Amino acid sequence: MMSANSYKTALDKLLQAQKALDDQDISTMPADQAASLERSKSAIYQEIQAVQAQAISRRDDAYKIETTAFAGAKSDLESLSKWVSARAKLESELFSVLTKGLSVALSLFF
Amino acid sequence: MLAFGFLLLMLSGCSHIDDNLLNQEIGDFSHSTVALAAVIQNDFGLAEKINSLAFVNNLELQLEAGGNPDTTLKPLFSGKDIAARQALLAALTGYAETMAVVASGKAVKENLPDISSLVSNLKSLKSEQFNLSHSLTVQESDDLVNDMSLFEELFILPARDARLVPIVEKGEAALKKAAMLLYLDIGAPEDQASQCNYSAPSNSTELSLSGLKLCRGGLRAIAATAIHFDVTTWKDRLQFERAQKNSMLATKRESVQRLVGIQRVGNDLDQLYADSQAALTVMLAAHGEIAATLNSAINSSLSKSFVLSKNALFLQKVGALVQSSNKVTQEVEALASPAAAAPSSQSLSDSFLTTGDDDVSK
Repeated sequence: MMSANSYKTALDKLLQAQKALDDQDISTMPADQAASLERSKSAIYQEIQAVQAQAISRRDDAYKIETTAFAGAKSDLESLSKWVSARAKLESELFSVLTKGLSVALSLFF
Repeated sequence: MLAFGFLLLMLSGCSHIDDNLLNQEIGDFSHSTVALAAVIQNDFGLAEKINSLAFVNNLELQLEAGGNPDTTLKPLFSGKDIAARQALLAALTGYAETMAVVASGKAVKENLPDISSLVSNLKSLKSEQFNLSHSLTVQESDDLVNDMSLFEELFILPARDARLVPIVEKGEAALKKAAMLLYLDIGAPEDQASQCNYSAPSNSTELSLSGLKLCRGGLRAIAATAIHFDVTTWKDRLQFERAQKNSMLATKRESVQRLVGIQRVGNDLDQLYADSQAALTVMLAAHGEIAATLNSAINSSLSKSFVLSKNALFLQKVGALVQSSNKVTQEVEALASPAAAAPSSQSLSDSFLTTGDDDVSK
């Protein structure tokens, strides 16, 4: 799956998304959303390992998703994003960082 | 006496040095190099264990939260990547053992019968099987891997040419390139040059190891990423347990211990990797010292009781490195099975430290 990002941009975004997802306190989430968040984090971790192994000379090449785990994470990220957006309207201080992180992660699919 | 006479012959009849001492020094160098190769092989294995551990811990958390986790583990290194590193380390070990066999006056083919298989394994090496491109261009990576053919020249010498001095002279270049490849493959956890933001730094493979400027990448970056993932999983578990009404204090205590434990392992593991890289530098210095000593012996300028201080330092450093490697291995295995945190049966041989036994078990 091709995206408009370069490998350098993709790695930056993956690390940014990872940080945002890591910063989320999962005790504020119901169990099923927390599980979905953890699965997304596992997929992002695997994609980071694959992308950072790419040659430095490929940094400007068009990024394509490297792992099946991350390729399959799109639906998780989208449904999490919908849930978080709805909650953020009521509890913005709890979910604003996660909202942004999910948005950054989803931008890697386009 | 036979070994004494043979060594004299190899050194062109030089008779005023202590050949037993030189033989012992070469034996020590060989032993240290074999042990270092075993440590480096274990270094890669530890990163793979951390990756598996982090994956399992996250999977368990997903399951406890009622999730449907992906259970397909993705290893850090493919079978071909592992085989390539094993081939390179086998070449390093083979060279060191050849030095010791020749120095002791024995025939290489009889004492190292598998030496020719090392040649075919080296021929199939490719740069993409290693992690070099974080700090080298593609061409530089290819050239460095192709330089491993220097070992082939040493391993296919006819018996009449299997003499110590030419072997060590040719071996100097091969050893330097192998050490550089391993040093880069182990890599760095952070950028060491500002230009890493936009290109590979200007690293020449003719530089000394300490002159290299690395970008984040290689084994150290891979392991740091895996450690980070496990740390955040344990932080999340604590948060998850806090939200559970029935969560027991003992469970939370264990999670805290695991969280602190993985951070400690992360620090110890990166230090082990840095020490492995430092040992490669010391190895090259010791080999250079041996080469210089042999040249002095030929020119009859070597005193009777010479001291190879760099070789002694190499022996000492590798001894400490083996201990450190065993300690970190036990720490990682304790994390993987905390209920049975017994000493590992696969630890590198501590006999290296006391008896000088060459049999470093994996």
